[in-house]
Amino acid sequence: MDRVPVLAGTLDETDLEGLVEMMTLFRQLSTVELESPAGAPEGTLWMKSGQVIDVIAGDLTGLDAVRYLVGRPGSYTVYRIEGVIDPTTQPLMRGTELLQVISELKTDSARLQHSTGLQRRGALPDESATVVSAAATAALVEPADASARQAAPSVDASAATSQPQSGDAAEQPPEHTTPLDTVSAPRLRDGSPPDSAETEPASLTALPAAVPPPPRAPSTPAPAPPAARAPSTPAPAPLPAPAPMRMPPPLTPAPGRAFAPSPPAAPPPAAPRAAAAPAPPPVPAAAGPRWATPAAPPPPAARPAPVALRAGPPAPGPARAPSAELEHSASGPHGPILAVFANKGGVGKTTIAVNLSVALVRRGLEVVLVDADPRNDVGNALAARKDTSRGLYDVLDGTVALADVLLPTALPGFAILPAGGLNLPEDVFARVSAQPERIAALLLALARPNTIVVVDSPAGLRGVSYSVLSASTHALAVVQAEPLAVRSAALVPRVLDGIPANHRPALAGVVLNMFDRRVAASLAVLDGACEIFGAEAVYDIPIPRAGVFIEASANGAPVALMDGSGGTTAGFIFESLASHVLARLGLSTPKLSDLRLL
Amino acid sequence: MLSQAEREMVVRSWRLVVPIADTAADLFYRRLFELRPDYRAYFPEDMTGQKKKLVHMLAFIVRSMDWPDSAWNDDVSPDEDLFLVVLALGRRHTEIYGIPDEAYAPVGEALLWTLDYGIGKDFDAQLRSAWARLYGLVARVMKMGVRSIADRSKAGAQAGGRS
Repeated sequence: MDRVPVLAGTLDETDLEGLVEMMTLFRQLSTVELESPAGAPEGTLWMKSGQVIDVIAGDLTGLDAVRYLVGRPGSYTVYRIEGVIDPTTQPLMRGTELLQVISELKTDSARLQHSTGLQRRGALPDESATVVSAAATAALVEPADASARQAAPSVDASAATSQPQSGDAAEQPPEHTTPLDTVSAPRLRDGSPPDSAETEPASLTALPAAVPPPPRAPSTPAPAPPAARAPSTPAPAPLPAPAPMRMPPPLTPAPGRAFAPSPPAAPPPAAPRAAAAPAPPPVPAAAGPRWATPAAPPPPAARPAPVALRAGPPAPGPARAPSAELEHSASGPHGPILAVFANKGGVGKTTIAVNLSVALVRRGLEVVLVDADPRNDVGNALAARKDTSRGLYDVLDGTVALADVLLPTALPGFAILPAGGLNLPEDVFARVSAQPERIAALLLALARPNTIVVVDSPAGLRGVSYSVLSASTHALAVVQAEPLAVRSAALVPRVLDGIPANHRPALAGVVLNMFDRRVAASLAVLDGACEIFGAEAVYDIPIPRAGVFIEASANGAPVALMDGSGGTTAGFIFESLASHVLARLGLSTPKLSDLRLL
Repeated sequence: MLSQAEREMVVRSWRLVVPIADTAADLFYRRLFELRPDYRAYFPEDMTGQKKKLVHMLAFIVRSMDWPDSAWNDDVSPDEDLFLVVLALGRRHTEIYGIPDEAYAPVGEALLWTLDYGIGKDFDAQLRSAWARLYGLVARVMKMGVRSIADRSKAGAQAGGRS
């Protein structure tokens, strides 16, 4: 067994708690040897992979030893031990649990010092010792822990009621030194080990061989397999060898890298592990196989893109939508899916999604606005008089049919799929983000050839947002014209690049929202955005800070529908934006120069 | 004290950083040099390799938080052992690069700032505290690097550089 010294220092710089905490970073079996200021061995702690294997101090083991060691001055040496340990070995407890114990003991110790003084008190009841030693054998961490906590109040009580008799503690070597006595004992005896019978240096040098010592039968880890408690190798001269508790005599040579870095169980981005729970039934089964069925061939006239502009007044989209689009094949031609997204919340993504949608509809396109933001902002922004408690997430969850929640609006050709999900359990969002293909299928189903699907994607670039982006043909980034926001926007191109090429949306542009050209910072952001995205991607119609947005919001209406007070102007901005977006989407709009009045 | 739950939070959140790791490294150094312009002198003119090292080291640290409990008694080579790697990293920072101990605070601040931006609104107080604890612990071990008595030629030498 190779023991490689790694680190040494004094306990007044790094106390036992700090040491144990650092040791939790050790993956390999490692030990800490503690010595008194006089150089006498005090105890040894074994740890591996954040687990405490054992603690020994003299003939104390387990938590008894911990209690003894906490608060003692001296020095430490940390070793790494080569070789594997007996596979049947059970850790005593987690490192974090030991830290908890130490922290409590330290608190107790501090309280003890703060009170009038130290005195002898009866040893912990025997059953406590039994519990502790049982804990040392393996899985009884809880009881052991409990006994540690139990001990605390009794100390307090005795400290409060007894007279200070500081000499006694050291003078009466107890048979079973109670940890809480010894915690502070060294301070009385100038650092020398208080219980010479127990921690006498001479015998400690031979400590490994002496463990288990005869008188403390109860605290030796009884149930450990006998083979595992093989006699230890004789101590190397300079330092006390660690007692290889529960280690097999011949340490098997390391079989190379035994741990492969554990690959994450491949949950999708942002899906908490716990969310792997009950998956909803596949959407097609629950919501009907309508939009999943291999579809009828698309109408021959329909081109994938660009979407033909409708000539006449639009047929009421929503009325037709549910049945028509559900026949549409996911692989067939479809209209563009435009994700309106932002890395940062509160940048006006929803405002832009809503008003852009309205502008597109006013240009004669059919638009389905899908609110993928669980906050259901679209419903709120439009002060919907219809029920928006159910929507996208309910469809994805398989609890409702798309046709039942796709809402027609006052504008012909404009339908809204609210986020909904208000009655669903909290974990639905995690589950949904775990199934990007369902979102993709749903968006494709909505994207009939003559329709633009505008998705108000949740803030951030992961989870549902990532799924939405992957399912979209185009993406419109919203950046608030504010310096911090542009930094977060710097992440956007990376995220887009991180999406597999066959799912990556084309960047349809970057909209600067809340732009104020009187503010230098806004202009700097414009520069920054141009730098990040390329000047050609940044719309040169930044959307201004204007009162009308607040007013429109208060009225729950798109700005284009606001009367007076700038509504028309602001609406015009979105009309222009719509033109730009259509151009980026490769959709034709009639050129003014082609129009003839006569 | 870094709890098990906090370790898991760190591991989960790191998955969100991975796709944007390069940008995160950009942001990290930009922020660090905003906080401490004088630290620019510690780094080479071309930061490309440096940024790679940072991401590599962070990834290694997070991966080390992600060992399954069931594998706790496997054998781990020194250059895969987080403690040794971090200790050696710290020693290099002090002895070779001459990084002062007080640099750990602004570096930690820049790291948290970067995570905040990279992770967005999910970077809540809990997650922040988990990362802060992890960083605090790693920084503590790094600062201990000068006390290292291990074989200085080996441990962790492969695993990273300045970060």
